Amino acid sequence: MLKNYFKTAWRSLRQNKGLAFLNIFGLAIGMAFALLIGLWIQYETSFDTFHKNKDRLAIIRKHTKFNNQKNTAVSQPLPLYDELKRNYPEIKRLSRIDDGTYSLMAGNSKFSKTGLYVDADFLQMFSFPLVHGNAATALNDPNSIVLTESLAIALFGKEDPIGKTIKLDNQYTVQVSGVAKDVPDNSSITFDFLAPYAFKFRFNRIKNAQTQWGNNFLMYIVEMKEGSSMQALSKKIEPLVMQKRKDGITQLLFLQPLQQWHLYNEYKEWANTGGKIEYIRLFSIIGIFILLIACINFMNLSTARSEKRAKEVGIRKAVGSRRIQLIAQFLIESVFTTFVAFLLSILLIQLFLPLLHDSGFDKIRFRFGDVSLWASLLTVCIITGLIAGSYPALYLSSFIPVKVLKGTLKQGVAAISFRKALVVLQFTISIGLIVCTVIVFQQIKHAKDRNLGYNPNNLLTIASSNDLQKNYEAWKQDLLNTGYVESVAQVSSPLTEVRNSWSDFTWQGKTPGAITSFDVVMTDWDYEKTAGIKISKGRGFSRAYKTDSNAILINEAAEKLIGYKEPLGKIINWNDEQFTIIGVVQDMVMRSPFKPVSPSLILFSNTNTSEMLVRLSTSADLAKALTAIQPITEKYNPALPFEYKFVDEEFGKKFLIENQVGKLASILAGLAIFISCLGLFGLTAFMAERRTKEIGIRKVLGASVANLWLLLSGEFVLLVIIAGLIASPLAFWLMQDWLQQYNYRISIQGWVFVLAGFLAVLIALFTVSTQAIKAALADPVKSLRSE
Amino acid sequence: MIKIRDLEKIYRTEEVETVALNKISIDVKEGEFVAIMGPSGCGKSTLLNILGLLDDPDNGSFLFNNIEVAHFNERKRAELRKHNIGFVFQSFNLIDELTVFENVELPLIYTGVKSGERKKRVEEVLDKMQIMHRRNHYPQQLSGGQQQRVAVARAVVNNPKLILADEPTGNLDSSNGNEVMSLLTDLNEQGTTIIMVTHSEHDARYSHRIIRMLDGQTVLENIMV
Ligand SMILES: Nc1ncnc2c1ncn2[C@@H]1O[C@H](COP(=O)(O)OP(=O)(O)O)[C@@H](O)[C@H]1O
Ligand SMILES: [Mg+2]
Repeated sequence: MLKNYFKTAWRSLRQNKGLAFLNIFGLAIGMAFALLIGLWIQYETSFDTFHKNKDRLAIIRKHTKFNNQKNTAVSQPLPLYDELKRNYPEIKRLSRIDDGTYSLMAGNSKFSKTGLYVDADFLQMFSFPLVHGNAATALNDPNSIVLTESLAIALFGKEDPIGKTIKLDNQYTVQVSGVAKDVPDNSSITFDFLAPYAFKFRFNRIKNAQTQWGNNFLMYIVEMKEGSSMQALSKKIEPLVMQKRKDGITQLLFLQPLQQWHLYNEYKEWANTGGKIEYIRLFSIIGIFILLIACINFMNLSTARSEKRAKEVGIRKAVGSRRIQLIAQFLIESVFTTFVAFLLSILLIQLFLPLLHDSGFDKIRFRFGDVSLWASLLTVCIITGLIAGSYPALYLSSFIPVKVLKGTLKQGVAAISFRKALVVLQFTISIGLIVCTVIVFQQIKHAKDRNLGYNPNNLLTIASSNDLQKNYEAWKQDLLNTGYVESVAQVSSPLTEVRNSWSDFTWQGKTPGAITSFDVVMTDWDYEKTAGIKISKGRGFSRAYKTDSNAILINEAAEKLIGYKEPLGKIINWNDEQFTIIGVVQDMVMRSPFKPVSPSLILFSNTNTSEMLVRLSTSADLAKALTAIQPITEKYNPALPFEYKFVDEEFGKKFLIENQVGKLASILAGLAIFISCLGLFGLTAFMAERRTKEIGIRKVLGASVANLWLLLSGEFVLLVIIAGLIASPLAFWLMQDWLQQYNYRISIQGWVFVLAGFLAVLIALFTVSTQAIKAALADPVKSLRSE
Repeated sequence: MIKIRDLEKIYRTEEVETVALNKISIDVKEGEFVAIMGPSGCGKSTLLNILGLLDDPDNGSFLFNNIEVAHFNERKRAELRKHNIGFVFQSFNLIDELTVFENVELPLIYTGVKSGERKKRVEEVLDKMQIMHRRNHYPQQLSGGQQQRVAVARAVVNNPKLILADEPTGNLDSSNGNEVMSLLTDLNEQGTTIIMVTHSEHDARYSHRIIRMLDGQTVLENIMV
């Protein structure tokens, strides 16, 4: 019986090659992308799940309130560590995490790598297994270091790294005490090396911080004791920082399970608003939609062909088949077809994956050896086949043999309306996706075109070091002498980041008890010139004024917050220091390009800088300029390899997620409309074939090609327009919701919907027309004689 | 074998009500060869379809081998049909995707005959119908006469007690038509009951008895001698 079904299925496919191709190809593309999205979701949800203790790990977060804004942060003060260690027995282990980029030298090799300074518990809390060394003791000695396997190989080649020494930042000698497996891709915590936090206590800044409850710069992860409640501890530690600070500033600690870190890392008004999980939800829905569109094609083309299949149904019934057997037959047939499509889709995935490299799929692989993956894929395949085959099976098997064998069966109005409804559904999804894509890109462009308050082009950032700081003036002069460099400045943070946020400023007229926070940038001369910051009032720091070491620049947001009508010459206090306002600069977008600019202050300091800004002259040839800068920098900064970042590229990285979403959405929108058109193409081809005789008669009676074209295409165009009308409010609602997360956002414009609808109509019309015109041009005599 | 009494079949569409069968009563004995004649639209096919359990009557009684089958459900009808009844249609009604052999094999598959046995029986009947040499061809590669021989082969492969033929020669020229008629006669002589709808007086002469219908009723019966 089964064999007979497969035979019929296979030959039916072979005899209707065109249709079979449309069916299978459409289904394969749909499945390929649904599978890709599935793999992506699997990857994204696998983050941080490889830790044995994953259920007992949590990150400490903090709700804060400054400038009347509610924020949620991960940075915590240093003294929190001892407090938690001492007084909270429900904590089994605890680690501070401080990350940074450091230079490592061993023999002739030098690298600049990202390291984490962590506590000795770290290697036992997390499942980052050591291939050499002992996890329990590797981080006990303050001068020890644990390398990842690939860094160990890079530094020492094939030699045993244990016990070897490394020079850190050209200054400190540390000894390798362990080698860890490379951090897996799906880890939120990433590092090239680990070093004991105890190492840091040699720095005054850290020593001083031991009593500072208001100095937030460390991340904390706790491991709960078995059987202790994370929720209870979260509640218990809530007031801890406030009790210690006693200054009335709202600071509420809480725990977030580590496993939620990757997907739920956004907070708004102290409430978790999701994060990546939103995209997972969105794309799961879209993935299902794409698959649905492909299934609809299958249903549509199968039922359209039903008049032919009807005869087979009649005969099979006449020779004794029961309806249930026919349903089984058609379902088996569609599962079989789906399986062929599935095999093709795996091929397509291999083809598509490289193209999706920059859309968030770079870490995603199809692992051919993964049995559970195959099992789940096969399940999806069978379910898809059953869904795609369900309607044709029920519909076809319901035919009454008497009618079909007599040839009186005409497709019912219901069947035809159902097909039209499916076409409308397909185009609703397609148009909706087009609208979403356009709006995502509009929003990205909106934020990119925003006035940044500085000029990111032709601007380099080079990480500072002790050497470079020492040799700063000589290095700067040498760079300027090359002729390629217009200006150089040293600064405490790159233009695309905020590293200091201070809250203890006061000024005349400040509302008593008001809790404020300012982003702080520390720099010396030439910062405004190098960054291209526009000064709206007053002046920048100048060598001409001796008093400038106590001068301060404020941005317009700060001016508004402070409230001075005439800010120049006014005083701002910080602890016992006094700063005189000498200028007001335009707001600089250093944080999110989608948010309003925070109040910022620029302080004069040449000891707290960590980055060098280098502005190239606009006429300079980039390659030549870099070749000129490299040896000079290496000369003054021998411990570090020459590395630099372009500020405009760094700014561009702020759009990473948005760009990925936009690209993915546009691919999916294109795909949706392509698969829909594939179905439409088959459907019109079929309709035209069925109506050959009618078209012939109409032609004989004098209908023009244009008349006939209208007759055959008009209906589909109407369907697409209906789809547009349904899609528009849905897409509007969806995108309105998406835009809510951005303070700095576009308002959705009507023309987007018109454009998407028009585009869909145009594409559909083109698809339908090729068939319609072909039918209209056919020789009527031939088609009539064929009767 | 067949005993129908006051059988009614009414087709209702939105505008009209067609009485296809109007309280018709017919008896057919085992081994008989009955021809049904009448003008187009008088209800011949409707009758045949009800006899073949492809369609159910609105009223009346239908005894098949003394069992009332008028209101059998789908499952029971399929069961009865596949073991007892073979069909031959005017338009052959072969499945285009299956070969001659596979078309004929189909009823055996549905009655659950084992593969080896199926092969034997299909080959036997194809041999008898003299189309063995065409066993691996598809229907579209055959002439009308050959296709109808395949259809007859398919109708008899299960050794049904009853064969229903609706204008089996309607689409054939006279020599092919005669060939099909002699096949049916042979089957009848071997004991199969045959009920055949035809427009041809010539074909009707092969039967034992002619039932003439008009407007859903029998109007005359001729016993052939
Ligand atoms: N499915 C149907 N729906 C409506 N009327 C039908 C249907 N099938 C047959 N009829 C009507 O029933 C009558 C008998 O039809 P039929 O049995 O096919 O006649 P015959 O085979 O003798 O030509 C005709 O008037 C026909 O129009
Ligand atoms: Mg008829």
